[in-house]
Amino acid sequence: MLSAFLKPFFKRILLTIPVAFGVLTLTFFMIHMIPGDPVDLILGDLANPLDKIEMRAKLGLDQSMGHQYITFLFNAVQGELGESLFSKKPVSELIFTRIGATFELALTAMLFAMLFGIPLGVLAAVKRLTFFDRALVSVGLIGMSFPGFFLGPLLIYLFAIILGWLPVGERGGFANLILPAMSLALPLGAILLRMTRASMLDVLHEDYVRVAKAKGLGNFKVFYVHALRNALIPVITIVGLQFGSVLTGTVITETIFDWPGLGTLLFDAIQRRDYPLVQGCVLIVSLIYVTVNFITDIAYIMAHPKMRMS
Amino acid sequence: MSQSISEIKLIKQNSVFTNPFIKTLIKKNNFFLSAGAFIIICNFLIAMLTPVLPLPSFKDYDFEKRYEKPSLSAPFGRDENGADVMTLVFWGSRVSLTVALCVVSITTIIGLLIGSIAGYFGGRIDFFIMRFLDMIYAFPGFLLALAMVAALGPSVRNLILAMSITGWAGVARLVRGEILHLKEKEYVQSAISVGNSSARIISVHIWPNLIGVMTVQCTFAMAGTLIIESGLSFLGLGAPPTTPTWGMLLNSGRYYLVEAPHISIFPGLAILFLVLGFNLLGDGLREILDPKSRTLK
Repeated sequence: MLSAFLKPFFKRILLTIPVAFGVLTLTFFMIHMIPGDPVDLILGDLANPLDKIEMRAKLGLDQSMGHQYITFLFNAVQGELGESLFSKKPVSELIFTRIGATFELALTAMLFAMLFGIPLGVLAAVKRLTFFDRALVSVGLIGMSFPGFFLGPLLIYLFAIILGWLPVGERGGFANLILPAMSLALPLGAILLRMTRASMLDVLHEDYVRVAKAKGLGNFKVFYVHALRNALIPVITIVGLQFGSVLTGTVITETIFDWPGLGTLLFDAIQRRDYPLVQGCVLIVSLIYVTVNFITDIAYIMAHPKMRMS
Repeated sequence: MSQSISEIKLIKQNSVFTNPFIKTLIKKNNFFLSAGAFIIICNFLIAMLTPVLPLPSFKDYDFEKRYEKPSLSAPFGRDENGADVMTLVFWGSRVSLTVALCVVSITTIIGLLIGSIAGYFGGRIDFFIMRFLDMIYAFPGFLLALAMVAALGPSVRNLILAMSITGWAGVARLVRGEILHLKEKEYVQSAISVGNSSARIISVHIWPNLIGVMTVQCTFAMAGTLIIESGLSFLGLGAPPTTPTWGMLLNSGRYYLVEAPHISIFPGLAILFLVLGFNLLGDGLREILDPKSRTLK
C-alpha cells in the first residue's frame, strides 16, 4: 500500500526535475536570444570599448557557452542570480524584498475567488434550470472573459474615483488590498463558479445524495455536507492549477495598482532593459509555478484513491 | 477511375453538409451560440472594413480637442493626443484578430499532428512525446511569452512566435486522448485490417471525427490568446508602439482615468466583448456537441 502511494509521488518528483531544468535553461538562453550584442544594448552603441570589455567579463559573456551555462546553473541553485544593471543590487535581494507583497496579493485573491465562486456555484447547481441559475452562468461567462487589465482600471474608476470608498496604490492596510485582489479574483472566481456548478451537477445524481435525501436530511445538509464534499475534489485541483495563472496575472495587476511586488519589479526591469533582473524574476515566478503545480498533483493523488493505484 | 463507387459514397458522406457535426449545428438553435457568433462576425467585419471606412486617421492628432468626451463627431471620444478613440479601437481589432488567428492556427496544426502521432502509434513514441508535453505544460505560458518578447523585441511576428511555443501542448494532449478512444472503433480497426496506410487512416478516418472537439478547442483558444495578446500589449510587449492595439490603448488610458475614463473604457469593452463572444460560442458549441451537458442544463 505504501509503495502504491509512493510510486506516483516519485514519478511526479522525477517529472518536476527536468521541468525545473527546462525553466533554468530557457531563462539562461533568454539573455542570448536578444538580437545583437547584449552589451551594446545595455551600454549603448557608443560606449567606451573598455567599458564594453569590462561589462562582457562581468556578465561572463567572454566565456564559452557551455561554461556560462554551468556557471549559471550553479549560481542559480545557490540563489545567486547576478546583479541588477540599474540599482546595482543583487537580483536575489531585490526579489526577496518584493516576494511577500506578491504572495499577500495572490493569496488574498485566491481567498476572494473561493469565497464567492464556490458558494455561488453550489447555488447555481441546486437551483439548476431556473432563471437564477442562468443568470449566474451568464455572470460566470462574463467574469471569465474580463481581462484583469480592464477590470483594474474599471474598479479604480468606480470605487476610488467616483465613489471614493477605497484607496489605490501603496501597500498598507486591508483596504489597499481589496481592489487589486478583486481584480485578480473575478476571472478565477468565475471559473470556480462554473467548475463547482458542473461538479455539483455530476454529484447530485449519485446514490449517496439520494440516500441522504431519503433519510430526510434538510436541503442544506444534503447539498453542503454530503454533495459539496465530493464535488470539491476537482474544484480544489483547479484552485491549485489556477494559482499559477494568478501569480503570472499579478504582473499586470501590480502594474495597474502600483503594488510593490514581483510584478512591478519585473515590469520596471523590462522597461529599463535590466536583463539580469528580468531573468531572475521570470526564473523565480516560473519555479514557484512549477512547485505549486507539483503540490497540486500530489494533493490530487492523495485525494483520489483511484489515481493512487494507476 | 481508380476510386470505387463505395469510396465515392464514403467521401460524399464525409462532405461538409452531411457531416453530423455541421448538421447538428444547423438544426440546433442555441442562444449562447448565436450571440457569440454575432459578436465575432461583427468584429471580423469591423476589422476587415476599417481601412475602407470613412474614419479619421488614428494619427490625426488634434491637441485642441484632447480628452474630449464621446460626442457625435467622435462616438468614443478623443484620447490624450486628440485622436479619435473609435478609429484606434477599430484598428486595434485588426492586430488582435490577426495575432489570435495566427497563433491558434499554428498551435492547432502542430498540436493536431503531434497528438495524432502520439495517440495513433502509441508505445515508445507516445511515451516520449507525452513526457515532453508534460514539461511544456508545466511552463507558465504567459511568463515565457513575456520573457521572449522582452528579449526579442516587440513585433507582431515575435508575439506570434512567443505565444505559439507553448500553446500547442494542450491541443496535442486533447487530440491524443481523442485518438486513443477512436482507434478502438470498428471502422478504424477495419480500415487498418484492409491495409490502408497510417497517414490515410489518420487523415480520412480519424480526423473528420475530431472536427467537433477541435472547433470547441479552437474557440476557447481564441478567447485565451486574445487575453494574453492584449495583456502583453498592455505591458508594452505587443506590436510596436506605432500600431494601435487594445492593450496599448488601455495602458495609456489608465493615466487619464480621472479626466477621460472613456479612453480606457472603450478599448476595454472591445476586448471584453470579443473574448466573451468566443467564450459564448465555445459554450454553445460544447452544449450542442456534448449531450451530457445538455441534459443537465
